[in-house]
Amino acid sequence: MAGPVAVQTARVAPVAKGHRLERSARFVFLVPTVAYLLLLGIFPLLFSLYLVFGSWQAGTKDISWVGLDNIRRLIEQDRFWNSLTLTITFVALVTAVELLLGTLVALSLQSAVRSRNWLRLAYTMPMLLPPIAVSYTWRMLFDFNRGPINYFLGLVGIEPVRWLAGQKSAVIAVMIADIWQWTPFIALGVLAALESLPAELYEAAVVDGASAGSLLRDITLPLLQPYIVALVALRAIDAFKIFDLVYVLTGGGPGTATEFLGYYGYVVGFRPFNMGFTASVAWAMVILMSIIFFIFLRVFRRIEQEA
Amino acid sequence: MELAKSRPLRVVYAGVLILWAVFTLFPLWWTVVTAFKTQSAVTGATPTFLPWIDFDPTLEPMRRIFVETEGYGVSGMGNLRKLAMNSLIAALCSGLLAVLLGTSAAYALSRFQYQRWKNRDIAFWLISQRMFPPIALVVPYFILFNFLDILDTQLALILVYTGMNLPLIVWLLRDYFRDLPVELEEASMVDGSTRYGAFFRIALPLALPGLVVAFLFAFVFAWNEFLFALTLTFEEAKTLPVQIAGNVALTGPRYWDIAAQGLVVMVPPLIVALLTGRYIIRGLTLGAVKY
Repeated sequence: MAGPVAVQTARVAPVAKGHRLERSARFVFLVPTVAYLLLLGIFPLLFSLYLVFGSWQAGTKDISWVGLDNIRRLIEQDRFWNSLTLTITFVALVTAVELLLGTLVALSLQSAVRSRNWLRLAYTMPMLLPPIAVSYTWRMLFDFNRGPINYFLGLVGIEPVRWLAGQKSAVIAVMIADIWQWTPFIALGVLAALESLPAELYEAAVVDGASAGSLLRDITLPLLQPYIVALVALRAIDAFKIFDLVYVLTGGGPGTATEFLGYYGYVVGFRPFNMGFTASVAWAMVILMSIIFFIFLRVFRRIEQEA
Repeated sequence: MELAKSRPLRVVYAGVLILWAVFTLFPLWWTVVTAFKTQSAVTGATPTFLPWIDFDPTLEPMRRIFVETEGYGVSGMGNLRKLAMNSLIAALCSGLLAVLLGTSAAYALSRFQYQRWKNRDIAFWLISQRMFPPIALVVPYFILFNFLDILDTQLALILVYTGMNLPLIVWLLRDYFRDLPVELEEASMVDGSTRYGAFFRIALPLALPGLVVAFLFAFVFAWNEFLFALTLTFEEAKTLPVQIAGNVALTGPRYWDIAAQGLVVMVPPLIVALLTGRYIIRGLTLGAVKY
């Protein structure tokens, strides 16, 4: 994609009198954005890395150096390790379920010719909704006494479940809400990829007498693979950041049963006010997420090169 | 691409679509109907689903959150109009600022070849900004804004949201500029206009639909944002999501009013969803999937 543009710009560049202006324009156009992100992205991030080794109290304006204290405390806290395991499990499970359901929905959508546009629109809606409003919606649905979920379970003879009060059921409740909001991301992403696959391949295979099953297995899935990896990486990065849903739905509870890393970092930093400690939790997350991001990066470059 | 598919497979696919539509729409339906119920209809023994059939809809909750805001201030429901105004100002201003900055950067990345850092490296550096967990930025923002004395101001939120949306906007518009024909700009530059002239007179008008979509996305993400607003504002610049999330703490979940507020905060994003349609997936996948 960059190829043809590059050739054409190279042709434009030496155009006679505007040469110096053209050269300065290259920077005038780009510098404001880069400067903005250095100032509000990179600088705060480095500052928070410094805070990992510091302590800051409101009221005072000074940061005191505490060396490795924050990191040592973090490593010694069971609560941190629980939160880490919980978060990784959560990300792995919701991403896997969303991938499976999403791919299934995408394949189904592809087969729906007439209703595809309407369904696509309906499925899109949850993704753009404010997470806080979505969280309250699910809180109402999961309500023990008056929630419709327990009501429907009752109709088929299942005892009402204390969704948000149980150690395991609270985690499941958060997962269901996340799956509701974000499966469409995978579904519509895969559908878009499906629609971009070359039809000739299928026609040729059908002529050769391939079955529906082998079309899926031998053509569709291998061609989709890079897209799926990119979608999964993006979804996983986002799932790692889960905060809003927990804040409203469970408040991290019962106990610390749904205390995911983002929420844990917030609670330890803003309730007893220990910013250095929050910075340490945040940096643990930065490191984890960078790993996923690099996977995404490699796959994305491959997609771009093929396109 | 319509292929001969076996009948059982078609039935399975249709079933999946229907189930998923019900699963997607029911929670939204529940929010809508709850927003028009009286307190007694919400707390009644069995849940009710259909207005006029199993409960009588009322505008009471809507009236309470919009009109009786003064009295409700004490019980924690806040002043909805002021909160909505705060949300709107933060989202509008940050969206405009991000599009203003992002457009020129996107144009630069699609039209110039950079030497020391290649275009692609710059683009990936930009997008890596979006990957960091917001909690890593909350702490330094809090301390820096405290130092600058701009905590609890709209300025703080506008600055933060602009940075949050800038990478996405550059990526979306970079794609958009790439798809525009460069010949028109070349021709105008051969005729003596400068790069700036070509940008403002030719590229920008052609890219206008893209700018609008990018702005709408930035608007929604800022409108929906919670963590930064929660930590960087307290009272004066507080946004709708922060207020809604805080409701429960003071009064217990007054679902009948919360559903009404939830519905109000959902309306702008739903309108944007209708307007942007297919672009949503392209936007959310950072252009990894083209539509």
